[in-house]
Amino acid sequence: MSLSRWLQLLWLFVVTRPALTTLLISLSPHTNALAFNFTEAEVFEQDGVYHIKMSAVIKAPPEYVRYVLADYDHIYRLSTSIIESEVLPDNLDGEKQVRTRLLLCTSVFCTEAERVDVVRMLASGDLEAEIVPDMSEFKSGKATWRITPLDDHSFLVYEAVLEPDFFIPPLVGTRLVIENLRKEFTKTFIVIEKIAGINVRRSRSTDHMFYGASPRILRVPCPGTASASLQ
Amino acid sequence: MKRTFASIILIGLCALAGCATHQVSYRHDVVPILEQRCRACHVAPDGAGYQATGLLMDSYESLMNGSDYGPVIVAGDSRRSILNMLVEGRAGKMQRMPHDDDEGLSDEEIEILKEWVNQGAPNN
Repeated sequence: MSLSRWLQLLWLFVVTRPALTTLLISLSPHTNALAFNFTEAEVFEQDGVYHIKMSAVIKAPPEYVRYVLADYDHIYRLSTSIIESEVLPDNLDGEKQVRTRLLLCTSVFCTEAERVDVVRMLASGDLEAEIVPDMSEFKSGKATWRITPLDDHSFLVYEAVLEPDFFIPPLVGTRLVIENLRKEFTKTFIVIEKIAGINVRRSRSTDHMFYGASPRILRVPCPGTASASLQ
Repeated sequence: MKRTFASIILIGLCALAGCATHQVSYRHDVVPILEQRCRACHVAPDGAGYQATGLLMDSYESLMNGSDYGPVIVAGDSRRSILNMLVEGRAGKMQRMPHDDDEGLSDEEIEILKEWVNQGAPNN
């Protein structure tokens, strides 16, 4: 086969790859390869609003799970979609605000979106995050993390509605976003359990606060840095 | 016509492969930055960075293994790499690395780490 023929085939592959990928994803019933034992994992779109409900048993006590979710300084650990994060000054009502920048990628397209949430710890111990539309690329959105004890473990329910204010290609794009959300939140549940587990082990092995809770609590002097000290 | 078509394809492939981009060396470009700015804390057993996160930077393998929380480098994607996020200050001032260094890394050092990760974080 001549070089030009090879190049033509290569070109054809490059041009048609996104369409083929999209087609394969559309035809496959479920592409989530990550394993996590969800009690419920429902993601769907209706009138431009994405609805997410996922629940699972997390092998860590509720206070540890709650701690991971409320550790806003380290919120970037919960998802590789978070490419920027920052705890903002409290709003006028004295509520904590968290800014994140998200990189949302499917096999066909990527987009970035800014998001600012007012975050609250409810009297029940559950956590709530409500999008501030004026500061976000979302028209609206609200999420709750419900954490209930289950023997030594926790039953964690994540429920959210999200209304993006950025362009998502219709039809196939929506399907890909749903797949992406399902995949990302599966990873997030895995990470929550992992970090909560680390905190449990850490708290049982030393008298320190939870592992990673605040690096400054655990800080010991670094060689050659006089300013570092135990805090 | 065929020759033009082939040339366009070759130029495109060249751009994709980064023909014009300087190849960053882990040994010569990245290690000196890590040694000067990171390793004092990311050293076992007493380094503050190691104690807080379990991240060691004494070898390529340990860096790529990441911290107790997971990988800190996503090869080929500095935007998603926590190492880059933290040195660039994308996770807020409090999280900016290195701690205890008000100035942080220089723009040049940040760019080297970014390029290296975007080039696939090779052990070269």
